[in-house]
Amino acid sequence: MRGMRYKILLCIIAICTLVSACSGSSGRNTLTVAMGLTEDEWTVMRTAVFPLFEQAHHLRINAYQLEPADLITKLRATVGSGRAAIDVFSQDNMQLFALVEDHLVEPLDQLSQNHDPAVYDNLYRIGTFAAHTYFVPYRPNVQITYYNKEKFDHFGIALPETWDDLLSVARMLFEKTGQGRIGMKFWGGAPTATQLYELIVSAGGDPFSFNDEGCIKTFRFLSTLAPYLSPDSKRAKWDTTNTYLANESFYYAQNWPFGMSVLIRDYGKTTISAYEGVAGPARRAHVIGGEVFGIPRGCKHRERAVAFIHFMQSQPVQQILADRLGWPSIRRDVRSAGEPWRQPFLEAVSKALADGVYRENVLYWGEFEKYINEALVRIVFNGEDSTAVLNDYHAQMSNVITAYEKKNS
Amino acid sequence: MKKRIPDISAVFESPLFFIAPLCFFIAVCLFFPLGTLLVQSATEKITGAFPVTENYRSLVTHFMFPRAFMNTVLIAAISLALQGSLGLALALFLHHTRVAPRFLFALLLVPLGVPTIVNGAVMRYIFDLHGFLNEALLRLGVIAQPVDWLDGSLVSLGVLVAADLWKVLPFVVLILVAGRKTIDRQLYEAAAIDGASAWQQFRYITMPCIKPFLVLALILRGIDVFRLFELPLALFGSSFPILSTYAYFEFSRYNNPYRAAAASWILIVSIGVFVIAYFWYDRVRRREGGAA
Repeated sequence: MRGMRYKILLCIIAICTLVSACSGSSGRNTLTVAMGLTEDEWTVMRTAVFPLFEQAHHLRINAYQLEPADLITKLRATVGSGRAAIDVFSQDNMQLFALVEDHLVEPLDQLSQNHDPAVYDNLYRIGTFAAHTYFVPYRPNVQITYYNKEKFDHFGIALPETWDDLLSVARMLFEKTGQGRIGMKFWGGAPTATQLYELIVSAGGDPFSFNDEGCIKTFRFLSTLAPYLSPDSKRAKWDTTNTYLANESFYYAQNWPFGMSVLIRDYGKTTISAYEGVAGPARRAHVIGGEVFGIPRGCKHRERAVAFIHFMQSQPVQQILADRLGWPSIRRDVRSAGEPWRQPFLEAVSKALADGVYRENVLYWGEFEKYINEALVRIVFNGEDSTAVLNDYHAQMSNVITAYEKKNS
Repeated sequence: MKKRIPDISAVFESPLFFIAPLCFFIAVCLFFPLGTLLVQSATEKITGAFPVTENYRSLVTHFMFPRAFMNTVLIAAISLALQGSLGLALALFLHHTRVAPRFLFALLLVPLGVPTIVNGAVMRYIFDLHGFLNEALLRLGVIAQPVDWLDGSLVSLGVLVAADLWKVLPFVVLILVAGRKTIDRQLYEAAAIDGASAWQQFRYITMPCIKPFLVLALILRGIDVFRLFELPLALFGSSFPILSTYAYFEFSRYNNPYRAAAASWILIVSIGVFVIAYFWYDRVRRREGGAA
């Protein structure tokens, strides 16, 4: 009899442990936040930003790291099973389409309609799909071009301002070092698609058309440039570009401003500086990226999540982020003081933002990304005829756009 | 009047009762996901139309698919040939060596404990443009400029095979050492008395006796080679496509679970060929054993 009691007791303990483990931290006084940040950024969030919100709202923020691609998978699993484990998340504004397409997020129309007037209106455009706002901004971003100043000075090479300049610089560096030193992000996926989008716009083309003058110019330029690029370009994406700049496989490459901290502070590469980058044949264009906040469908603490978003958009928080991390702000009333070493980089960011363009928010971004990556492989790596390949993708893209339009109508 | 309790002991004695958990497991964990995957593979992404062959058609006609398929088959063929021959040589060496055989055996098993993704990262350090191999070759004066080992060409195929070999060879050796230990020593003693040379002993005793183990190891490895995923992903990304990474990119990068499902089904069928080959071999072997 006594043995039986022990067994029952053990069973109860096991069940309680299991239940508490499965329930996670969706307690009464918590707010679960998922963000994709670097270590430095987490430190500032945890020590200087979150405590202010926790004190004001008497709750605890349970924040954890979630990469943009993992967020989509996580939300598919949790929202699909009716267990929204995240209350609010930040997401890369280049990877929003899948969340809307799979109905994983709540509309935030009220937040966009009654937004703080100090926040730039146009930043809300990126989170609006088919007349509904699903995401609100908290961090705008733009890519700048990093270059190894020491090497450029050593070889007596001036910074390129146009595509033609870039081609001659690439040739010169190839001849002088025996290896391509200009880096492009050809790993595939979003980094490559974003880069190609920017190049096509700066050549005066419409990226979704695939076969207009600007698209053809862009791919021809890339085919000419490819032999003089660093071989590591094939493996370059947003994170590895920093490594290649640091190990001097790249002397020149474009990347997001987070690279400045990685290069200067982590790698100690004080010889690296930055500027806004080259202009295309038609104009200077830089895709505005950054991060936005969203709330998962079926979120249990929606009011807290909305309060958190307001808090993150507020002037004091944006000022902290600008001063401590050198982030550009979504607000007109924030001016960054920052540390002195950041100044050339922040200047490059300001100049690039002045030529900022938003990529169109379309449900077929996934297909576009696939086709543009494939066009690059076929034309630049496999040496296929650019006109034939681009006409092929023009037809495929047109079919997809028509199918989506038919579905939505 | 005392109520009569129905006798359900017969249920517990029924063979159906014992195989029910297995049937349940197979239905839930195997047939349900595979069925869902099959339905997805026959669904059109935008319109949701079902059943369609569009996903399979677009895959098979895609410019990268033949390369992904050929890469997968080539890797399987080269890997299996190398794993079989090197595995056998090492197994025989370990069986005959008198120099710290246990220590050598333990050392050989170390790569089995290394997670595949770590293996991939280590190989990146070795074969990267600025990796250890290029640095060593440059310092030795063998090359003037670093070689791009991971550029997605045939050289990359060699890198992938080598990286996989390092990780899985111990598994093959383990099976073959076990197989070698089952061969009766008296067979060799009798052959030696009859004047058989070392080569003849290997040809007519070792090989026939170890063959079932070799085939088992190669079939298990064959199934695994088709499932190679983390290693090519960590080493090459999309520049060296194989079936599994191709399916992954369709799902994760391009948000198209439908075409990814079709690619996965093609992979499942390819693995199925190896499984059927194994059962066929096993059946033939049993029949031959029975006849003997």
